[in-house]
Amino acid sequence: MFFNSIEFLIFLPLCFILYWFVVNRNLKLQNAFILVASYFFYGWWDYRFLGLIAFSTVIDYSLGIAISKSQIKSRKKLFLFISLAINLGLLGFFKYFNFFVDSWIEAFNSLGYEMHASTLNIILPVGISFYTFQTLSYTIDVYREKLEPSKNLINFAAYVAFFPQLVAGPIERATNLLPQFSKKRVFNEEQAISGVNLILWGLFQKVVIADSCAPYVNSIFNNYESMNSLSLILGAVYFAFQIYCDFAGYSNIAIGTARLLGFDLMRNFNYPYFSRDMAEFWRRWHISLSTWFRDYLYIPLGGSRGSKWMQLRNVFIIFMVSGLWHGANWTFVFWGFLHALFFVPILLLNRNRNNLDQVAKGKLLPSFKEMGQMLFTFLLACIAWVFFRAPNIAAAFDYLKNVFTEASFKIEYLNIERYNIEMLLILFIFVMYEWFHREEEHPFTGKWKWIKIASVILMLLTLGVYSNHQDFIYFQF
Amino acid sequence: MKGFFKHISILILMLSIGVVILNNLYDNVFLNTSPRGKLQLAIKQEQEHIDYLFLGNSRVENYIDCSIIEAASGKICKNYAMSGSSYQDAYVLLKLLKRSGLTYDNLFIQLDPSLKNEAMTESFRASLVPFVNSYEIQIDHVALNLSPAEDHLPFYKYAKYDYLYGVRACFAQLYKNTSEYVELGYVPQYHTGNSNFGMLEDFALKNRFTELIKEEAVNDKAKIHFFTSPYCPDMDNTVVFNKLTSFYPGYINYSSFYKESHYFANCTHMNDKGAQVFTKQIIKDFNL
Repeated sequence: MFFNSIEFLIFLPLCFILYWFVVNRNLKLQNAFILVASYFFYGWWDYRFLGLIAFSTVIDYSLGIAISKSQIKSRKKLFLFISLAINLGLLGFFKYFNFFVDSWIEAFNSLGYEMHASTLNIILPVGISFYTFQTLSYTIDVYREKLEPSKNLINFAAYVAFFPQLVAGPIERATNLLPQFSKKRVFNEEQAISGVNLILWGLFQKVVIADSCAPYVNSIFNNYESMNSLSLILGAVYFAFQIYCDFAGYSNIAIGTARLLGFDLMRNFNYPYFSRDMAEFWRRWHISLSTWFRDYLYIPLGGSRGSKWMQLRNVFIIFMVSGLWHGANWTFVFWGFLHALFFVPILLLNRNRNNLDQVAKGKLLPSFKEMGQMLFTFLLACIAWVFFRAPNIAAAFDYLKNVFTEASFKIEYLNIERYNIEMLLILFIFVMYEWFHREEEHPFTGKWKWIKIASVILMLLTLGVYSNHQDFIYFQF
Repeated sequence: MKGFFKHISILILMLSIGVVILNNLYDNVFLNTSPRGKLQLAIKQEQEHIDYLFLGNSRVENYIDCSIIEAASGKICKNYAMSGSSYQDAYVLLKLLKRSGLTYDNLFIQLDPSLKNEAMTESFRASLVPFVNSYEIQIDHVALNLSPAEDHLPFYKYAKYDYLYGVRACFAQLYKNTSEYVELGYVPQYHTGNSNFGMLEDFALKNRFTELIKEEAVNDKAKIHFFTSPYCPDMDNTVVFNKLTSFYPGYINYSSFYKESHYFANCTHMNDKGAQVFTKQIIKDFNL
């Protein structure tokens, strides 16, 4: 079930009513209801993979208790290793089996050895990358004694399958979300209203911005050989907004939905395109994943301790693993590699914690320096997005090469029968909305709140894409 | 809870007012402005007598340049073919044209493997949606009923078919509905290409709606002519069209008529150069 579908429009109010008016008597009922609703939500897409979530839940629940009960360090380690092996094994099989087989064969063939092996027809279960990381964080935190293991299977199962964030995050830490399942939720008006506003803003990001960008992006990337420089540049810019609004839109709807049920999820995006350097960008982009990698991979590897070489090694490892997390394609790995490269000068100059505040805080406009920094960071992000979007690395290099060789800056009429100018106007409005509310979670605040809500509803109706329904991009990860 | 429901109620109220206002606005724009596109032309504009009427899909729309026929014959010729349309679409279009007062002497129908499709195409149905109730369109043998949501939920039909009736189309309807912008007849393809389409497979020889079109022409005392437009020289198995001769009297098979691939935009469509040559061939063969 997609957040931007009619089914969800019926499902969510129904859930809300049942949750607050029927099963609100006690905690057990609330959690059991969330579990049933979450399995229904996921099963709507493909019920066969419910078994996988249930399996993962039971395994990590049991291993969490086993880790906690073990008095011997080596036994604790063994249980943690089993959890890692099972979770990463499932993820590896469903997501990377064909990729590794193909890459292996290609490597052998390129060395002159003829090798044939067949790949399997594997369907990628939606959300596997997200809930696997979530359950991993649980067993690791129990092992590190940061968290008491859950003694209630229903609570734990509801935490793993919690439908607002099950299929595309935010990747919640057990330390934040699991305790919320141990307390009876009481309706909080302010929380629920902010939830509805976030859902509205998320829908706007997805249906108006991301889905409007999609045909432009497809048209330009699919025909990049014949496009001029301006169109190629705009193609990368459109994709930057498409992927941002698609994923941030999803995250906002997820956080908003959770708030309607009395839960607080972590923020996943914090206006990343207003970042002044790449370090700031990564503190604002897909925050739940970048902090996950920081806590469970970067720091255990040594983090920023040790020599510069060790630090650089760690940076390259986490960015490239993060790239691979996104999908079984070398383009994603290269995308991570590029981000690591962009990070190198910041790390070498010890400037990775230079921009911790919101840009131009308390001011209407940024300074010229800040503007230049933001544009440069956005440019770097766009270059990397070309690799993320292209079908293969060679095509991405070709795309970038054509930006310089097809040197024409005439506005082209695209084969989707649209001019770029229309899309640029929509993006400009969106950027203005974001800029003037960059210190808020969403724009629906202040005394003009209702005017802003009305304008967004109007844009949803008139500019929203409903006929050509686009799935959320991050579902594929 | 009270404040929350108040918030939700205001949102629903805003949404409701928005859809009602926009629905009326869009209705006004699409129903009361001058026609844009062939279907709107058939619905909104009073029709006159046509000597040569061409109906079909892109293999007519891109192939028959009526200006050449009119110059050669001194008679009125109209190409009402619409890219991607089916025979049911062509039948409905003919009925709509007649409903608006059209009379005709000669009707030309192009036959190709889309004979197997008896359904109305989704895009044609979508194009009709705003007009069905307002113009009280009813056509024998064709179900044009709107879904309950399309009929009763304000603005739903415009949101559902936003690729046809979105805000962009709304502006175009208002400001780009002159002949300068609207393709109302022959739509040429200007590029040259010749991608091999492979082999034509057997297809149904009869179609319920070509039969209904035939009946319609007989009732209107008009002559009906059948032909198949050319394919590129690489297309295999064009002999399958020969079977059509027994079902469609006077049928002419042009499927492998041209051996020059520079006449083609792709294997199933001629370009402008090809269309000029082909239209002249039609004039000659049908004695127009």
